[in-house]
Amino acid sequence: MAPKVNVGTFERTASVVLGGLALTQAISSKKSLVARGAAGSTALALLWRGLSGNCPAYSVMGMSSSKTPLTKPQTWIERSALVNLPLEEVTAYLTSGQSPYGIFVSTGSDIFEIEMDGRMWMINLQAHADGKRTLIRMSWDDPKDNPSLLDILADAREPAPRIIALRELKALLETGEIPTVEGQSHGERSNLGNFFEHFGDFIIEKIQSQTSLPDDPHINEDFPAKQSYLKEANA
Amino acid sequence: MRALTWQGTNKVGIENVPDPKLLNRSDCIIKVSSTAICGSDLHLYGGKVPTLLKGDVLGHEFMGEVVEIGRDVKKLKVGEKVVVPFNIACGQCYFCENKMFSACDNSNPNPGISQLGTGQNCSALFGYTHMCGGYAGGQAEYVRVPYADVGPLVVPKDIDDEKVLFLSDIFPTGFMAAENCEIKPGDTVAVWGAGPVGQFAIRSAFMLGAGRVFAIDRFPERLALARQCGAETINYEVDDVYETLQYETGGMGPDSCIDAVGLESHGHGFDHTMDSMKSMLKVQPDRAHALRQAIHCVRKAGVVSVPGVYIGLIDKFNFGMAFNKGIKFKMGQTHTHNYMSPLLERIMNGEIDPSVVISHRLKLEDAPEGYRMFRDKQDSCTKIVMNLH
Repeated sequence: MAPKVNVGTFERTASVVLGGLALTQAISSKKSLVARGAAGSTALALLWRGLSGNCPAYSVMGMSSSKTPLTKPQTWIERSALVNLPLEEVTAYLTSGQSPYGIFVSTGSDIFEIEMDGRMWMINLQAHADGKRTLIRMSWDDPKDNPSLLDILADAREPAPRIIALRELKALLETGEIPTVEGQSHGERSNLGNFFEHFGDFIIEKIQSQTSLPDDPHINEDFPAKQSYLKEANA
Repeated sequence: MRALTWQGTNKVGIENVPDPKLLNRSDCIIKVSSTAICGSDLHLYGGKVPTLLKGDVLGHEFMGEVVEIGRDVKKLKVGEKVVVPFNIACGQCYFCENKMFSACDNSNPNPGISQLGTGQNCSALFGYTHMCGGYAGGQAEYVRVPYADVGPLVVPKDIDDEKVLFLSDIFPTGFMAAENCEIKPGDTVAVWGAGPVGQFAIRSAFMLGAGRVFAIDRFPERLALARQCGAETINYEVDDVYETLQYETGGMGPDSCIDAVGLESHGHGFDHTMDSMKSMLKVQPDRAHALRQAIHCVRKAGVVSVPGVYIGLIDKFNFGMAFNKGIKFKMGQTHTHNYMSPLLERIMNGEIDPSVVISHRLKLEDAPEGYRMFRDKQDSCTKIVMNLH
């Protein structure tokens, strides 16, 4: 579940910029380890504040600079992808056990469940109007309420599936493999380059999820992904 | 192996890097025999395109011999001589199936970055930033090529590399730019930029039936090359482009205009001065003088075709002018895969010799100097090819 947003857009942007500068300083500076550690910690805190939109200090003081209007989603569907295969082929693949993600268990006419990376995923399939393609909608139960900075860092070590997993599933269905550049040749990297290579995906995904998911935890509690899917399926 | 890597703004160098290996089952490894520096490599060289990292191997125009194939590769065989298209396409997604290969939905392993920038993820390119996939490029002794059964075009072993190397990018790019103009027999086409892509756009426009083609540039040697194939030329340092085109077309304007310049345009006037200042201050990478001028010059209900690369935002954009003239815009990365075979046929038939654009032949070791020379247009540099093996 996404943490409560209590930081306004301007402050979030400023936090990301300042965090980036502090991080660059921490990585490239020749100062003592303590000074670099302090700069690094400040950088991570600012980046977290900017990317998540959540300021623990504001929470304690009951403050908020966020003016984002809260919109109540009708159905909480996290991500979708249009796969260039007919519904029958996608269904057959997901239930055949060929997928490296394991066997997808059908829980209804078009709902599949699978446990992956500690999360329960639900996949909803729909034939596209052209009859040649299939719309895959994917949601998950996030076990973490208000994830801490440590949770985020743990996610960074093993990037959460989310958008990346959906795109990978699409590539797998269409081409039989997931494209990768991990382990390919390159020359000497800078510290910043190494950081980007290891954490770039995570940061991008974090930004994307923050810009597209409902922000208010109360709304999320009212519309847990699983219920909304089942509601929609039953309707 | 030796490879040319980006090492910072306006700095490239030769490094020893690990040999490429098969990472996906549909990959192959190519032993590069020839590779070229593209005008769009200069955007990378100058640090204009975000998400390029120090140590990245550059180069997206290359060809060579297949030396290793993955276990899912069915068509390509070890030992075959191939030209590789600069964009990477899976061949299976909606876009590839509909021949829009440069919009491939699966080839980019880092789709999130470009999705943030453009709304949708872009397809992958060789040696062209992590936003475009982060694949290593072909200015190296060896290169890994994904989707080996989809991209590489097998060419006859006895054909000279220089005749077919440009099927990888600039010839199809110039051709698609001309095709996008929807040329009718006798049409007038104006081409901004007489660099390599512009040269192929000019020649392709004639092949597709244009009656008159105007080439617009400031470098005498490039204008001379354009004249060799029958183009009329305008040196924008000497003549007013708009007035000349108006006069030559009886006040109508060219039927179609091609912007083969892209984001690092030069020129005169307030808009160019403002663009240059913003570019220097790093607040706007794109200098779009040529594009604005093409919109100004094209006839009513004409076509503006844009093969030149743009990456960011453009202000002072004369969109009202475009709307009121009813202009049709066509643009984007080339769907290279569509054009390679038909253009190879034209080369084999002797309709065109792409090697005419080559001005310099270097070794890989000399590539850093080649980048500097190409950027500064020194020594009449039009196109640099490096022969490796």
